[in-house]
Amino acid sequence: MVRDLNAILDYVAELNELDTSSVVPLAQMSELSGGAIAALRADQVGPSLDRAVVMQQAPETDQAFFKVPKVIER
Amino acid sequence: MPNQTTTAESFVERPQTIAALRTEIAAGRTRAADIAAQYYERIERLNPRLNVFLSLTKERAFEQATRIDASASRGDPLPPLAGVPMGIKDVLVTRGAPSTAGSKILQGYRPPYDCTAVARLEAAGAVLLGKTNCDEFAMGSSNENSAYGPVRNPIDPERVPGGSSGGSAAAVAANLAVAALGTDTGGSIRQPASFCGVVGVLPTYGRVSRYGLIAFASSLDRIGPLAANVHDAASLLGIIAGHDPADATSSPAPVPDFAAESDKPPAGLRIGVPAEYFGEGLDPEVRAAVEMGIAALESAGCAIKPISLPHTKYAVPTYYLVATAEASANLARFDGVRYGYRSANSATLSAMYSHSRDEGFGAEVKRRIFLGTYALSAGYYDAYYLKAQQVRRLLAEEFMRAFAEVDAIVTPTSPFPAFKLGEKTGDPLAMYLADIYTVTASLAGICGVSVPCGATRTGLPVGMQVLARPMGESTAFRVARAVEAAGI
Repeated sequence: MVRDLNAILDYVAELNELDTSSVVPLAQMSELSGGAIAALRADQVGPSLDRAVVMQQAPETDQAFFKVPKVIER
Repeated sequence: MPNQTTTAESFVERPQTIAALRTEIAAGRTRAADIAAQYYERIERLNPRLNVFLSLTKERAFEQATRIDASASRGDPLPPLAGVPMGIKDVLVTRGAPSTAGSKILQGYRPPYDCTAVARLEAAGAVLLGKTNCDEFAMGSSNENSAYGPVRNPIDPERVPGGSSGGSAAAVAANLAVAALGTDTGGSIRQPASFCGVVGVLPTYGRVSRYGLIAFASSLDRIGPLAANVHDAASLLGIIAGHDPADATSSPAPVPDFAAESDKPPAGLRIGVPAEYFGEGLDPEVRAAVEMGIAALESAGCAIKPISLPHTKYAVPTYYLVATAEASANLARFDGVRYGYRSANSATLSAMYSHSRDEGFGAEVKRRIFLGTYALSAGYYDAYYLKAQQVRRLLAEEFMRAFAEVDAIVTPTSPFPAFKLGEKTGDPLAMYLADIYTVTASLAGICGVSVPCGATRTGLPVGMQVLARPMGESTAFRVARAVEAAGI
């Protein structure tokens, strides 16, 4: 794994051949296709997932909460 | 009354178009339920060897088919995809039915909601047969990274179907479905389409809602159709495309009638042929087949123009920084808490997180999470992730400059045809380099189609990639349709 990761990191270092000092990073693809960036919906409360349905998929639950091993290590 | 089961049986022997299927059902010559039954029979025979389907959604399929048949017998107008049997890649959630993303970490997971694209297909009458196999979390170029075994290429079962949508491509190629949905982040629809000899569509980023797509890389992921012909692929895109309030990155751009546009002759279009995609490393038989496709376009009245995209060589390293960084964020949710695999016998919460992820994720997924986390970490963010986002801008601008001069750009989809199972699994970097012709379009947000374009001497399919500007799928379809019509 480490050998593979190092080989990949060596390979991606090729990007340093390029001078990008005056280039604005491209982070939001929506700007390319005429969409709004971070289009937000109206702040209105609406229905969400049914708790009982969601809990059917939970590894361990009391039907109200997801149960996990102790959080605080003592 | 003609024997409809016999009609269905003979109907299913050869791949059918969406229109032909719908006509048969509307005319009462066959029933959607019989078609579905025949496809399930084929799946039962061929799936053990090909490993295309991970799970089948028979109840849902037959409920839909029965609804379609009831409409048909009443003489109601049928929806556009009436009775069309489809496969759905397992990274797309289907309510109540297994959705594993090809991973053990989601084994047994049944989502509480449907992917928007899936819901739109169903509303249009499609019969969803089941979930197709894929590389784990869509990470791979051969479908050998699936936790549920590789898919075998129906053309040559000792070879890979491509990835990550290998199951979807193989389903269409083997006529185990009339069409399928796949996803493409770095080439995962286009490349398997080319390896299996089918049509695969990369819609513009934002064209199709990503709601319900188990995320790999949020700025790169696209959902798209695979089909046996260009017209059907275009029809399918028309059904799933369009704004969705549930996806803040989905585009409000109007959806053209892609199917009608795809039938328009390509005469007068300017086609760019970039030198960088025809250089060293390209298999000579692939080159020859694609060059025949280009010659056919010229005969059809297109103006062929050599162009240069000099930053092409930086696309793979850029992709493997951007995609892995985004993946490390998107896969953080798989922690054993709310759904999916939870490791047993963990004394503390943090032990539960690390054991669940260590035991649930495959090697390639871990490799990418490590890379992505590193690329985003303090002290390395600027050198890796930010740098990659800057090079990404250069790649996108290079395409936009090209599209000022040409209407479409054509390239081979892959430097080589389908390779043998196990051939590249020992060297991750060699596998990454297989994406060299497809990651550019992914990074630039543009659209494209891979269309079958001849074959090698031993019969392995070759694909031509047709790229167009953002929201320019109609142009890509027109060019692809012309290549298809030439029958290379």
